[in-house]
Amino acid sequence: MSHETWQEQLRRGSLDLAILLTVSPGPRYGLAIIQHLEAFTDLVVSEGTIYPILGRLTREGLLDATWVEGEAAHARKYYRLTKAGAQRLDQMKREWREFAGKITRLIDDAERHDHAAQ
Amino acid sequence: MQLSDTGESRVNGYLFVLERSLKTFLPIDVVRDAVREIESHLRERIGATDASPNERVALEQILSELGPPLRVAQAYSAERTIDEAVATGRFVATVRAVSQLAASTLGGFSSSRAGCSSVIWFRSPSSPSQS
Repeated sequence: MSHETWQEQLRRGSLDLAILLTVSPGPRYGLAIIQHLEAFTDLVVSEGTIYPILGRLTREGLLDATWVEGEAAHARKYYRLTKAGAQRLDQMKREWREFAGKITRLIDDAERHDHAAQ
Repeated sequence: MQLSDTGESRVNGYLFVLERSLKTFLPIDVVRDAVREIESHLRERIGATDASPNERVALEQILSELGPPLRVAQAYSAERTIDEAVATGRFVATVRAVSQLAASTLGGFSSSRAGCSSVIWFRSPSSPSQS
Protein backbone atom coordinates (compact mmCIF):
# COMPACT_ATOMS: atom_id res chain seq x y z
CA MET A 1 0.00 0.00 0.00
CA SER A 2 1.37 3.42 -0.91
CA HIS A 3 1.50 6.21 1.65
CA GLU A 4 -1.15 8.14 -0.34
CA THR A 5 -3.49 5.15 -0.24
CA TRP A 6 -3.05 4.82 3.50
CA GLN A 7 -3.74 8.54 3.96
CA GLU A 8 -6.87 8.29 1.78
CA GLN A 9 -8.19 5.35 3.78
CA LEU A 10 -7.53 7.16 7.04
CA ARG A 11 -9.31 10.26 5.72
CA ARG A 12 -12.36 8.38 4.49
CA GLY A 13 -12.56 6.35 7.67
CA SER A 14 -12.55 9.50 9.82
CA LEU A 15 -15.09 11.57 7.87
CA ASP A 16 -18.26 10.13 9.41
CA LEU A 17 -16.96 10.85 12.90
CA ALA A 18 -15.77 14.35 11.91
CA ILE A 19 -19.16 15.22 10.36
CA LEU A 20 -21.12 13.95 13.37
CA LEU A 21 -18.82 15.94 15.67
CA THR A 22 -19.36 19.06 13.53
CA VAL A 23 -23.14 18.99 13.92
CA SER A 24 -23.14 17.84 17.55
CA PRO A 25 -23.18 21.37 19.07
CA GLY A 26 -26.19 22.33 16.93
CA PRO A 27 -27.65 22.29 13.40
CA ARG A 28 -25.42 23.39 10.51
CA TYR A 29 -26.03 23.57 6.77
CA GLY A 30 -23.80 21.87 4.19
CA LEU A 31 -21.36 24.67 3.43
CA ALA A 32 -21.02 25.54 7.14
CA ILE A 33 -20.17 21.89 7.84
CA ILE A 34 -17.55 21.93 5.08
CA GLN A 35 -16.04 25.20 6.34
CA HIS A 36 -15.87 23.85 9.90
CA LEU A 37 -14.15 20.67 8.69
CA GLU A 38 -11.72 22.75 6.61
CA ALA A 39 -10.92 24.96 9.60
CA PHE A 40 -10.04 22.01 11.85
CA THR A 41 -8.88 19.23 9.50
CA ASP A 42 -7.55 18.31 6.06
CA LEU A 43 -10.39 15.87 5.53
CA VAL A 44 -12.20 17.79 2.77
CA VAL A 45 -10.38 17.05 -0.47
CA SER A 46 -13.35 17.81 -2.71
CA GLU A 47 -16.34 19.74 -1.31
CA GLY A 48 -18.86 17.90 -3.49
CA THR A 49 -18.06 14.54 -1.90
CA ILE A 50 -19.29 15.69 1.54
CA TYR A 51 -22.95 16.00 0.43
CA PRO A 52 -23.36 12.31 -0.49
CA ILE A 53 -21.95 11.37 2.93
CA LEU A 54 -24.44 13.73 4.61
CA GLY A 55 -27.16 12.01 2.59
CA ARG A 56 -26.05 8.55 3.72
CA LEU A 57 -25.82 9.60 7.38
CA THR A 58 -29.36 10.98 7.04
CA ARG A 59 -30.63 7.73 5.49
CA GLU A 60 -28.97 5.82 8.33
CA GLY A 61 -31.02 7.93 10.77
CA LEU A 62 -27.98 9.54 12.38
CA LEU A 63 -28.77 13.00 11.00
CA ASP A 64 -32.01 14.81 10.37
CA ALA A 65 -32.15 17.21 7.40
CA THR A 66 -34.48 20.21 6.98
CA TRP A 67 -34.65 22.88 4.29
CA VAL A 68 -34.82 26.40 5.71
CA GLU A 69 -36.10 29.21 3.49
CA GLY A 70 -35.77 32.95 3.92
CA GLU A 71 -32.54 32.97 5.91
CA ALA A 72 -30.42 33.75 2.85
CA ALA A 73 -31.09 34.53 -0.81
CA HIS A 74 -31.40 30.77 -1.35
CA ALA A 75 -32.71 27.92 0.81
CA ARG A 76 -30.25 26.10 3.06
CA LYS A 77 -30.45 22.46 4.09
CA TYR A 78 -29.68 22.13 7.78
CA TYR A 79 -28.46 18.93 9.40
CA ARG A 80 -28.83 18.09 13.06
CA LEU A 81 -27.86 15.07 15.10
CA THR A 82 -30.70 12.66 15.93
CA LYS A 83 -30.92 10.69 19.17
CA ALA A 84 -29.52 7.66 17.33
CA GLY A 85 -26.79 9.90 15.90
CA ALA A 86 -25.83 11.14 19.37
CA GLN A 87 -25.61 7.57 20.63
CA ARG A 88 -23.49 6.53 17.64
CA LEU A 89 -21.27 9.56 18.14
CA ASP A 90 -20.66 8.66 21.80
CA GLN A 91 -19.74 5.13 20.70
CA MET A 92 -17.45 6.39 17.92
CA LYS A 93 -15.70 8.88 20.23
CA ARG A 94 -15.06 6.14 22.79
CA GLU A 95 -13.73 3.75 20.15
CA TRP A 96 -11.62 6.45 18.50
CA ARG A 97 -9.96 7.43 21.79
CA GLU A 98 -9.34 3.79 22.65
CA PHE A 99 -7.92 3.09 19.19
CA ALA A 100 -5.77 6.24 19.11
CA GLY A 101 -4.53 5.55 22.65
CA LYS A 102 -3.41 2.04 21.73
CA ILE A 103 -1.64 3.18 18.56
CA THR A 104 0.04 6.01 20.50
CA ARG A 105 1.25 3.50 23.11
CA LEU A 106 2.62 1.36 20.30
CA ILE A 107 4.43 4.36 18.79
CA ASP A 108 5.84 5.39 22.17
CA ASP A 109 7.06 1.85 22.82
CA ALA A 110 8.72 1.61 19.38
CA GLU A 111 10.39 4.99 19.88
CA ARG A 112 11.65 3.99 23.35
CA HIS A 113 13.29 0.94 21.82
CA ASP A 114 14.74 3.07 19.01
CA HIS A 115 16.27 5.49 21.52
CA ALA A 116 17.61 2.63 23.66
CA ALA A 117 19.25 1.04 20.61
CA GLN A 118 21.02 4.28 19.63
CA MET B 1 -20.37 38.42 -6.72
CA GLN B 2 -23.28 38.96 -9.11
CA LEU B 3 -23.03 36.56 -12.04
CA SER B 4 -23.31 37.66 -15.65
CA ASP B 5 -25.47 35.67 -18.09
CA THR B 6 -22.35 33.74 -19.09
CA GLY B 7 -21.63 32.87 -15.47
CA GLU B 8 -25.25 31.80 -14.93
CA SER B 9 -25.00 29.55 -17.99
CA ARG B 10 -21.86 27.94 -16.61
CA VAL B 11 -23.57 27.22 -13.27
CA ASN B 12 -26.70 25.90 -15.00
CA GLY B 13 -24.54 23.73 -17.26
CA TYR B 14 -22.78 22.24 -14.23
CA LEU B 15 -26.10 21.50 -12.54
CA PHE B 16 -27.54 20.05 -15.76
CA VAL B 17 -24.67 17.55 -16.10
CA LEU B 18 -24.94 16.65 -12.41
CA GLU B 19 -28.70 16.11 -12.67
CA ARG B 20 -28.39 13.96 -15.77
CA SER B 21 -25.72 11.81 -14.13
CA LEU B 22 -27.67 11.38 -10.90
CA LYS B 23 -30.86 10.47 -12.79
CA THR B 24 -29.22 7.31 -14.07
CA PHE B 25 -29.22 5.68 -10.64
CA LEU B 26 -31.25 7.75 -8.17
CA PRO B 27 -35.02 8.31 -7.80
CA ILE B 28 -36.11 11.66 -9.22
CA ASP B 29 -37.09 13.18 -5.86
CA VAL B 30 -33.65 12.35 -4.46
CA VAL B 31 -32.01 13.85 -7.57
CA ARG B 32 -33.99 17.08 -7.21
CA ASP B 33 -33.03 17.38 -3.55
CA ALA B 34 -29.34 16.68 -4.27
CA VAL B 35 -29.19 19.20 -7.14
CA ARG B 36 -30.99 21.79 -5.01
CA GLU B 37 -28.43 21.32 -2.27
CA ILE B 38 -25.47 21.60 -4.65
CA GLU B 39 -27.02 24.72 -6.20
CA SER B 40 -27.48 26.18 -2.71
CA HIS B 41 -23.78 25.50 -2.05
CA LEU B 42 -22.77 27.22 -5.28
CA ARG B 43 -25.03 30.25 -4.72
CA GLU B 44 -23.65 30.61 -1.19
CA ARG B 45 -20.04 30.44 -2.42
CA ILE B 46 -20.71 32.86 -5.29
CA GLY B 47 -22.53 35.27 -2.96
CA ALA B 48 -19.59 35.24 -0.54
CA THR B 49 -17.05 35.98 -3.29
CA ASP B 50 -16.09 39.62 -3.84
CA ALA B 51 -16.87 41.08 -7.23
CA SER B 52 -13.99 39.99 -9.42
CA PRO B 53 -12.65 41.61 -12.57
CA ASN B 54 -12.34 38.10 -13.91
CA GLU B 55 -15.62 36.37 -13.15
CA ARG B 56 -14.68 33.29 -15.13
CA VAL B 57 -11.57 32.60 -13.03
CA ALA B 58 -13.44 33.14 -9.76
CA LEU B 59 -16.31 30.90 -10.83
CA GLU B 60 -14.03 28.14 -12.11
CA GLN B 61 -12.23 28.20 -8.76
CA ILE B 62 -15.54 27.68 -6.92
CA LEU B 63 -16.56 24.86 -9.28
CA SER B 64 -13.18 23.20 -9.03
CA GLU B 65 -13.34 23.19 -5.22
CA LEU B 66 -16.74 21.54 -5.47
CA GLY B 67 -15.36 18.97 -7.93
CA PRO B 68 -16.42 18.01 -11.47
CA PRO B 69 -20.13 17.08 -11.70
CA LEU B 70 -19.34 13.53 -12.78
CA ARG B 71 -17.11 13.01 -9.76
CA VAL B 72 -19.79 14.40 -7.45
CA ALA B 73 -22.34 12.05 -9.06
CA GLN B 74 -19.90 9.18 -8.65
CA ALA B 75 -19.60 9.99 -4.94
CA TYR B 76 -23.41 9.86 -4.58
CA SER B 77 -23.42 6.56 -6.41
CA ALA B 78 -20.66 5.11 -4.21
CA GLU B 79 -22.43 6.12 -0.98
CA ARG B 80 -25.72 4.61 -2.19
CA THR B 81 -24.09 1.38 -3.24
CA ILE B 82 -22.10 1.05 -0.04
CA ASP B 83 -25.35 1.66 1.87
CA GLU B 84 -27.01 -1.13 -0.03
CA ALA B 85 -24.09 -3.49 0.38
CA VAL B 86 -23.80 -2.94 4.11
CA ALA B 87 -27.54 -3.07 4.72
CA THR B 88 -28.17 -6.26 2.77
CA GLY B 89 -24.77 -7.93 2.87
CA ARG B 90 -25.50 -8.98 -0.70
CA PHE B 91 -22.53 -10.21 -2.66
CA VAL B 92 -23.37 -8.40 -5.92
CA ALA B 93 -23.96 -5.08 -4.16
CA THR B 94 -20.72 -5.50 -2.25
CA VAL B 95 -18.72 -6.20 -5.39
CA ARG B 96 -20.37 -3.21 -7.09
CA ALA B 97 -19.47 -0.97 -4.12
CA VAL B 98 -15.88 -2.14 -4.23
CA SER B 99 -15.56 -1.56 -7.95
CA GLN B 100 -17.13 1.91 -7.70
CA LEU B 101 -14.76 2.87 -4.91
CA ALA B 102 -11.93 1.40 -6.93
CA ALA B 103 -12.87 3.62 -9.84
CA SER B 104 -13.15 6.77 -7.77
CA THR B 105 -10.54 6.64 -5.02
CA LEU B 106 -7.06 5.42 -4.40
CA GLY B 107 -8.22 3.86 -1.15
CA GLY B 108 -10.95 2.00 -2.96
CA PHE B 109 -8.51 0.74 -5.56
CA SER B 110 -6.27 -0.59 -2.85
CA SER B 111 -9.22 -2.16 -1.05
CA SER B 112 -10.44 -3.83 -4.21
CA ARG B 113 -7.05 -5.47 -4.53
CA ALA B 114 -7.05 -6.49 -0.90
CA GLY B 115 -10.58 -7.92 -1.07
CA CYS B 116 -14.15 -6.94 -0.27
CA SER B 117 -13.97 -7.49 3.47
CA SER B 118 -11.51 -4.66 4.02
CA VAL B 119 -13.88 -2.16 2.41
CA ILE B 120 -16.83 -3.33 4.49
CA TRP B 121 -14.75 -3.06 7.64
CA PHE B 122 -13.48 0.29 6.56
CA ARG B 123 -16.91 1.76 5.86
CA SER B 124 -18.80 0.30 8.76
CA PRO B 125 -16.90 -1.19 11.68
CA SER B 126 -20.15 -2.19 13.38
CA SER B 127 -21.61 -3.90 10.33
CA PRO B 128 -22.49 -7.56 10.70
CA SER B 129 -20.92 -8.06 7.26
CA GLN B 130 -17.46 -7.95 8.78
CA SER B 131 -17.94 -11.18 10.72
